[in-house]
Parts: sequence; structure tokens; C-alpha cells
Amino acid sequence: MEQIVSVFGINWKLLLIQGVNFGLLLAILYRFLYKPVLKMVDARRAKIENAIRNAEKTEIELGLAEMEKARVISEATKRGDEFILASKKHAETEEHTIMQAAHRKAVHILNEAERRANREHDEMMQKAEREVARMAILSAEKILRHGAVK
Amino acid sequence: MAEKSIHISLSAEKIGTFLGISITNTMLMSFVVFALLATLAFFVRKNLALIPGRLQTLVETLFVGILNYMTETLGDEKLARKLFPLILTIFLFIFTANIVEFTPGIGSAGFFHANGEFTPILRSMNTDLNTTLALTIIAFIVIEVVGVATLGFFQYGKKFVNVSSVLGFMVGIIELFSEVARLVSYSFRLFGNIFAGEVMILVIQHFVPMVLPVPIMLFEVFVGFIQAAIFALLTLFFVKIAITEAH
Repeated sequence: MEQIVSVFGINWKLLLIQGVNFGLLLAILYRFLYKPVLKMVDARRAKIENAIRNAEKTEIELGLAEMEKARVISEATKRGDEFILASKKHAETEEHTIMQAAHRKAVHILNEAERRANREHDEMMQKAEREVARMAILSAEKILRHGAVK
Repeated sequence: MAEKSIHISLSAEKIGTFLGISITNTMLMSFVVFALLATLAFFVRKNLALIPGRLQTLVETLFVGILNYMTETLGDEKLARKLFPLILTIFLFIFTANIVEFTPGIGSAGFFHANGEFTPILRSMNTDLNTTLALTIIAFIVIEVVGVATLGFFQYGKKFVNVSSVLGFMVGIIELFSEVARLVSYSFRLFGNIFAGEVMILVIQHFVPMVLPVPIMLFEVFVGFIQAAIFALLTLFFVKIAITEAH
């Protein structure tokens, strides 16, 4: 044993120094190499995970937005159609009413005109009768006067 | 004869003393490796961004791959995260030391003693049993601590001291021996591989100094990677065994 130790130059001080050297190297590499590099790898992994999650979330949100868009459009179309239909109906009833009113008015005007024509006609007849009577009297008078002179 | 023979020393050469502690060339080398890795760490840290550059991508891919593998092996993400720094530091420390050992100047720059003996200032870190033994002791302590912390002292102790049956008792004793034998197998495996590689290159350089050492060096770089990976992976596997309950 003694011989082995002396032949290989084993010395507890040298062993200790090598051990301390290695320990120090371990500490330095841990502090300046392993820890920051692994931290960086972890940070990058977390970032990528986050990005993927965000992308998925965005996709879902996009899908929801698309759905919302489609719903809004269909609702708007439906309501527009309803509105147009209602307007059409309204216009039709309005037209009907207007036509009816116009018809009534026309009938009324026609009646009025007829009535007035009749009245004028009657008046004319009365006037004519009165004129005829007056003419007859005048003729009779003339004839009488003429007879008297003779 | 002035013909130089190959001088091979199993132990690291002493190049000076500081506060009564002898400084060896492998110790200096471990400081160089330390500085290299610390520089890398500072550089990566400085350029860290959420949108990664090339170096950061490489580092991140490596880290995440290793962490995933550890999580798979241990079956516990929290424990994997806790052990990740240790396992990776073991790998990086050994691997860096093994690949820089062929840098020109390491092993060749040095000084001659009065008696003509040559001492290089830097020597491949893992060719010193002190380094590999220190790493082994750290790994050993971590394995035992994680085992006790996960299973509890008595549950963990039952692996080694089992009085329920004769066979169980024998198995427990064998377990205890293999546990302690790990200290030796771990440290000598790494030391032996790297030291043998260095010696082989030295010998080949002695005979064929030019082209031949290159493929051998390439192979040794591969061995350096394998040994670093084995050291780290074995630590991981023994932790896994330590946290698995005894049957």
C-alpha cells in the first residue's frame, strides 16, 4: 500500500486541491453556464407554449367572431326582409285606401255635377216657360190692340 | 552514451512548492483546464439570448439532450436536474483535459534539472492518479449521498447488511465490496487509459517521430472522449443503482 501511494505520488494535499478545483469548477459552471442556459431554454419553451396557447385562443375567438358575424348578418337580413314585407303591405293598404277615397270623391263629384246640371236645367225650363208666357201675353196684347184699331 | 532513454514517471513531477504544498505539473494542467472551461462559460453567458446564436444552439442542444437522457435513465426529472451539473462537469473536465493534452507545448515545454532530468511544466491532467482519485471520491460520495437521501439511511443500508437470510447476507457483503472496489476501478480506468495513451505516443515518437503519431493521437482523442463519457455515465448509472430499492 505504502509503495503504491509513493509510486503513484498520491498525496492527500494534492487530492484535496484537485477536489477543491473540481468543486470550484462545478460551482462556476453551474452559476455561469448550466443555470443560465437551462433557464434560457425553459424561458424559450414557456414563451413558445404561451404563443401556441395564444394562437389557439385567437383562433377560437376568431371562430366565435365569425359565428357572431354570421348571426348578425342573418338577423339583419331577416329583419330587413320583415321590414320590406311590412312596408309593402302597408303601401298596399294605403294604395287601397287612397283608391277608395278617390273613387268616393269621383262619385261625389259626379253626383254633384249631375245634380247641378239638373238644377240648371230646371231653372232654364222655368225661365223659358216664363219667357214663353210673357211672349204669349205680348202677342195677345198686340192682336187685341190691332183688332180694336180696325 | 548520450542516447536519451524514455523517461516515464507514474507520478506527476513536482515543479515547485507554494505555501508548503508541492505544485505538480498535472495540478497546473488542471488549472489550465479550469481556466479554459471558465472562459467558455463566461463567453456563453455573455452571448446568451432568447434567439440563440450558433454556439448557444450547440450548447443548448447538448444540454437538453444530456438532461433528457438523464431524466430517462433516472426516471426522475427533479433528481436529473440536480445531478445534471455534476455529471456534465465531470464529463467536460475530463474531456477537455483529454483533448488539450496534445496541444504542442504540453509535455514538451519544461526545464532540465542539474542532473539532466527533464520536467515538463504541463502534463496531461488524467495521467496523475491524484486527479482521477479525487474525481472518483467525489463521484463516490455523491452516489452514496443520493442513495441515502432518496431511500433513507436504513433502507439504503439494507443493500449491504442483510440478515434476512444467509444468501442475502453474502450478497450484501459482495455489494459492499463492489461498492468500495469502484473507487479503485474508476480511478485506475481513467488513469490507465490516458497514461497508456501518453506512453504509447511517447514510444512511437521515439521511434517514428513524424507521421505515425498522428493517427495514434487521433485515436487517443477518441479514447479521451470515451473515457470522459464512461466516467460520467458510470456515475449516472451507479446513482441509478443507488436509488433503486433493494429486492
